[in-house]
Parts: sequence; C-alpha cells; structure tokens
Amino acid sequence: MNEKDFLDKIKNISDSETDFPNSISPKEVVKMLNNQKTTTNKSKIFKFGSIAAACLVLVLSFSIIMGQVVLRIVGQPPQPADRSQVITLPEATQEGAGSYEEIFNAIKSDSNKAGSDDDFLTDFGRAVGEVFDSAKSFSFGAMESSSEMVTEDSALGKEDGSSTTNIQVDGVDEADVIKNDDRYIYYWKNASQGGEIIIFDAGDPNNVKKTGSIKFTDKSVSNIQMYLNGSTLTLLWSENSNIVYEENRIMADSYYPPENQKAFISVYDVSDPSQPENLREFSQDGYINNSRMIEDVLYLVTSYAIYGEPADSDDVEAYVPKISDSVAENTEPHPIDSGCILLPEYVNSKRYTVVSAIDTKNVKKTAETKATLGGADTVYASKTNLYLLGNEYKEEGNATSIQRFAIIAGNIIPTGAASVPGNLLNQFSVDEYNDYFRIATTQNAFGTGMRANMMETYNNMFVLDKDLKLTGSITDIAPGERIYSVRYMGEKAYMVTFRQTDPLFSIDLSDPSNPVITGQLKIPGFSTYMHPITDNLMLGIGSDANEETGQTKTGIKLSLFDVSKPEQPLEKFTQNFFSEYSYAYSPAAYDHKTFVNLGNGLYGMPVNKHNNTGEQSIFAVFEVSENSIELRAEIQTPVYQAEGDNYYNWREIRGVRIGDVLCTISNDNLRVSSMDDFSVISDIRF
Amino acid sequence: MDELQKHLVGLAKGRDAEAFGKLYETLWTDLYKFALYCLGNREEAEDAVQDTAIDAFNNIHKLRSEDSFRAWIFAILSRKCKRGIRKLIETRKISELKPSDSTYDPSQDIQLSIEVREALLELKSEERLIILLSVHGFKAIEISKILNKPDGTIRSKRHRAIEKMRINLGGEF
Repeated sequence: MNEKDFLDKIKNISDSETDFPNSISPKEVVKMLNNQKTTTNKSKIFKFGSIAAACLVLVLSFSIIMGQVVLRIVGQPPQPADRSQVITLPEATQEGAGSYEEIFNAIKSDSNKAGSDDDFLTDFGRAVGEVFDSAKSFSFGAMESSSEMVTEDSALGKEDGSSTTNIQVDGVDEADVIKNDDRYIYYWKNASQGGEIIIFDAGDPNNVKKTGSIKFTDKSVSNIQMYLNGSTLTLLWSENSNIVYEENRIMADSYYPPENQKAFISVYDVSDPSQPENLREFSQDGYINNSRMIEDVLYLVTSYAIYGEPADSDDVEAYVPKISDSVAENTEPHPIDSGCILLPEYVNSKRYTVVSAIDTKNVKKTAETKATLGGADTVYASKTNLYLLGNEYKEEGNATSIQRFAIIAGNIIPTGAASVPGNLLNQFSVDEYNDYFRIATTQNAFGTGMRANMMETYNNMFVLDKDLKLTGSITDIAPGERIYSVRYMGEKAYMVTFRQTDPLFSIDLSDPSNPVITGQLKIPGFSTYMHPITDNLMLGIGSDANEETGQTKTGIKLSLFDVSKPEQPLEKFTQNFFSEYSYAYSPAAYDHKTFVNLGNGLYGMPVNKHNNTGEQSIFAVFEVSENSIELRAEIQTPVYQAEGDNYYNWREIRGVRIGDVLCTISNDNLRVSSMDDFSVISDIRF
Repeated sequence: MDELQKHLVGLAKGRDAEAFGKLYETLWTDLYKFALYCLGNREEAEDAVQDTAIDAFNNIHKLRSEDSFRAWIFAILSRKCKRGIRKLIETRKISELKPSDSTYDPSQDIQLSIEVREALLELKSEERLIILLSVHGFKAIEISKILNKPDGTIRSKRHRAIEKMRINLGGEF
C-alpha cells in the first residue's frame, strides 16, 4: 500500500466519527462571536473628525451605491452593482488628524456603534463647506516624470557587466536578500541566532573569498533584506517582540502573519567592506509590508495592527504605532505625531499603514513619517509617487483602495485617493506612465439573470489621470477567469487570465480615454510572471495545464511571446521544463527578484525539483533567443546541514553575475562558475 | 465556490460573524476530527476547536490571502493542538482515547480503528500533525507553510511517520 492509500485509510476511519459537540456547531459559534464584546459594529461608516472632511465625498458615494444593494444577508445576492464604478477622491487633505483623541475616536467608532443615520447626515451637512475650503488650499504633488519600464538594456547595463536585482520600475530599487556590485556580493545567511550578512570579494574570479560580515546575535531578528547604493549598505529586518508560537519562527509569508513585529533599518558605510561601519538606526512598529529605494532615500512601508480595545485616549501607545530614529532629537521609540496620521474614509480594520522616508546618504537628516488608518496589501512606486493599494470588501463585491503619496527628496505628501472595483494580483498589476495610473483588477461580483446568485470573476483595466479620476476602462474581461499575471510596456499592457486555457491579452493604452484589447492568444497553461526581453518579445514563466480540464501539470513552463503585432500575439516557443520530475517549481514564478538577467541572452532562476529519491535545489540557466529557450546549465551547490537545524539552512539557490563568473549561493555555500561553460571554479563554504 | 469563499472571508474581515459562520460551516467537522485524533481527548478537542474559531474570527484581518482560509484555520488549530498535547502529557491524560459508542459501525473493524488512533498517539507531536494534515488533504508544500518547515523536511518526516505507524500496526497496513 502506498502512502496515499495509507493516508486515505486513516481518513476513512476518522470520517466514521459522527459525534460532534453542539458547543462548536456553526450556530453556536456565530452566537458566541456575536456576543464577544469586541465584535459589535457591522457598519463601516463612522463619524469623521473635522479635518478629515474631504473624505466625506467618498463616504457619500459609497452610501449611494450601498443604498442600491440588499444589505447583509449572506447567501442572498445583492442586486448587481455597477461594476465599473470608480470612486475618486482628489481633494485629499494634506493635514493629518488634529489630535490623538480624534484617532482614538475613529478607532473606537469602528469597534463600537457607528453614528446613527442622523449623526451621519449632520456630519455630512457640516462637512460640505469644508470640502470646498480644503480643495481650494490643496495642491498636487509633482508628477512630471513617470515610470519607465525596465528593458533588457537598462536591466543589465552592459552585456559583460554584473547582474542587478530584477526590479519593476527603472530607478526604483527593491530590497533583496542578496545584493552585488561589480566586485562585492552581500548575502544574508540565515541562522537560528539571527544570522549574518556575509560580504564576498569577487574581484578576482579565481580567488573569490569572504571579506567581511555583519553579525546578528539576537534570536528575534529575521527576514533581513538589503539595499546597496554605492558604498552604502542599508539593512531592513524584522524583530518579533514576542515570539508567539514557540519553536516556529514566524515567516513573513507564512499563513500566520507575524504579530507585534517591529521593523528596523540599519545604514552601513561599506567603503571598506571588511570593516562595515554603522551610521544610523531607525525603527518602526509593524511588519515589513514593502520598501523601495529611490536615489538615496529608502521608503519603508509597515503594517501595524492594534491589539485589543484601547480603553483610554491618554494611553496613546496602545493605539498608535511608534518610531525611533538614532539621529532625531528624541532617539527613544515614541508614537507617531497625530498630525502625521491620516484618517481615510472609513476604518476598515484596526490596521495602520506606516510610511517612512530615510535618507541613507545624508544620514543626519531626520526621517519623515506618515501613517494612515487602514491596510495596504500592495505597494507600488514610481520615481515620484508611492501608491498604497488596499483590499476592501463590500456587499456588492471586492474593491481596491488607492492612496497616493508624492515622494520627493524624502518628503511624503498625500496627494489623492480613489477606489476601483476588484483586487490586484501583485505590484505588476499597476503602473504609472505619462501622468496616468493604470490598474488591472479581478473582481468578484454577482452575475445577472440566471447567474444572479452566483459569485463570478470579472477582470478589468482602468486608466486614471493625475487627479485619480477615471479616464477610460475595459471591464468584464474574461468572465469566470482571473488574472494570473500582468506586465505593462509603455503604452501597451499584457494580461494573462486563466481558467482552462491561458488567454494572453494585448491591450493598447495609448489613448487613456479609450483603452482597447487589440488581440488575444489562447494556449494551455498560464504564466504567472512575464518578463520583457525586448520591445517585441516577452518571456512567460508559469505552468502547463490540460487544455480540457484546466488541471495544471508538473514542470516549469517557459514561453516566448512575440508581441510585435498588437492584434496577434504569438507563442513563438514553449517548453515545459523538468516535467519528468514528480514535482518541479521555480520561486521565480511568484517572486520576480529570484529571476535574474545574466546578460548575453542568459537568464537564471532557482528551481526545486523532486522525484522518488528526494528533493534537489538547483540554479537553472536558460538561453533565450528570438526563437527558442534552451536550458544551458543546472548548477548545484552543496548544502551543509547542521545537526537538528535543517530549517534554517534550507534556502533556494540564488545567482548573481560578477563580470565573467556566475556566483550561485545557498545558505552556507557559494559556488563560482565560469560564465563561458558553467564549469565550477571554486566552492566557498561559509 | 472559490469566489464565494473569498467574498465571505472579505465580509468576515469586516467583522461579519454570519459570513464567518458560513465559512466555518464547511470546516467544523473536519476541524473537530483533526483535533480529536491529534489530542485523543474529546473535551480538549472541543476546547481547541472553539478557541480556534474565536481566534480565527478575531484575527481574520491579518489573513493576507483569502484563498488560504482553510490552510490558515488549520494552522491555528495545529498550534493549539501542539500546545494541547504538551498540556495533556503534563497531566497524563493523553492515553484516554476510546472510540465513543456513536462511532460504532458494524461494518467497520473497530479494533483496527482503535489501533490506528493508538498508533497516531505513539507519534511525536509534529509527526502526528503532519500525518493528520495530510489526511485532511494538505499537500507537503501547504503543510510546510502551516508548520513553517521546508517541504522536503515535511516529506521525509511524513515518510518516517508512516513507516513508524506501519510497524506499530503490525503489518495490517
């Protein structure tokens, strides 16, 4: 009997259990949950502080829409709402809350009863005049330059140079566990005691060696990521202030999001990599949601949840996240100033999103911090704007809130907010280009007619102008499917949706008021990451699937799409690599930073594959030409397992190119291979 | 169903207990069976499931991917069970597992089911969690996220645990 039959047999035995305690029946549990003190409010509208007056426009719009729907009976469908409704709030205020009390009341009114309808109307009446006042005094943040897509040339710089982190927007760097320049490699080695940053000197390909390190000895340090900017190395990491679940370290991507975390930033001078020198420390409450670096300024986004019910507005620390800055006047952790906290249209959950700008060159400059009540699920940044994109749930379907901040030379200025139907897949779902913001969403909504009580998916593309007003849209793309990947290339966008086969849509966005689908290609399987190779060629990484059933197959499907003809995208080449294994997977399919452009048409990615004899991690190098994709090398690197510590040592193999050599690195070994024939030059155990 | 579930998770994030109830309705018997086989004690299993429901509802705003609700709630329960096992070992209640009358099914070999439960209780707590999560349909890669261990480790531990159970069950499996 194989393992599956064995497990099935146990399942059959356990399924014979029919005696279930009534106290845990759904009915009793719902009753119990409703009786909980903290669970009273179902309304999302709350009384506003006077300063947040502008936001009332949005509330009113929502309430009109909400008025059309049948409220709050799960299982009974609301009437279909207008699925293309975009709600724009250009009159965002630059001012934060007037006092901590105002914030306290906002949080309280979320967890307790919202104001009655009368209160709401009164507040609204009062606010109308103020909306106009704040609109007059408001000016937008600059939006002159916009994002440029990352193409082959800009990503590698020079063909025989060194690789860089695979980022979304040119000039907007993203943090990673490995960073390099033309000579040095910085790598986070994970260990049970926090690990260390190991610095390798790869100046001489025949003598790559460890030259320095930054050690962490605190057990609670985890998830270290880096930015390298000239001779400045900036580290970001999280600390679990209480490790809730004993022996399990809580990873950022586990099902159990980390609680009570604190994010840290350390800036080091590495002009002498053997002697890194600490220049500055910064901390911010919450888990690291995301970050970006533009020129010398690091923008850190954390998410912070309020625990329990703050009882007293004087107990500010109970409901306001704290920051600390080693170069500020007050170096102790202290609550964010109430004037820097924005109160958006409603408090959806007791979450804050906190954004700080930390100058890594001018280290004496105090950090700037803004916080907003409400969650951010995706972060996107162009060179001049940072967007916080949050999932929202309404009776009539899901939506995404957009909050935009101008980020200019370390300042963070709120410049607008809007909401669009549907949710994003990831950061690649959005793009800013020539003053327009484009956003692709998958929407859950009830259908009409026969399908009135069926939740269906619809996909949309919206184009918003610099006031975040809708200029054009395509809605109801591929009903029943959902977005698997999106990539923007200037005036064009490519979108992959999937249910059984993979339609690749090419979308022309050159006229912001009239986006159009120009062509589509249906192929089995799907791509979850698309990488532009040239202006006309795109590489797709994903999975193959059975054309009839939609069932995915094992293996890593690489496809080469020719997008030179907008009306007719072509799959020029496709191959399902490693399909002979019982299971094969590349993290590059979901984490673009593990994918690396090695130059000269070579691309690398970590691959994990399994068969009967066990699991193997490799680094795969593919050669991509006009007409084909070829597996050029599978590079292994020894993994040394410390006794009883195998969890910390397990890492995907990452690769970077330094001049003529490829350096592949696991948690405790660096393998140096020749870029010519991928023969092994040396192994450095560390 | 997938989309409806995601929507219900969304509503539950807005503190809608009824929506949470709909989600819980599809899972609660599985959760109880899991806890019962893991803890081997009806009262403890009941407590674990009840605590799990409360924790899940109160923390659902922290669930980042709506698709993962089932795995997420099993992750919460797994941790409660792990803690429960330790408590039971301390108070020596662990071996109280007896099939209740209501599980009596003449068509089934009762003796075998007792043996399976006993063989499960012989496993280390982590092995037991891995086996039971597998029994409830989770793949190694999902278990690796639930327990925060690499999936290769999960596979090898699962293999070893099954071998152990087979030996303890004396060739009947």
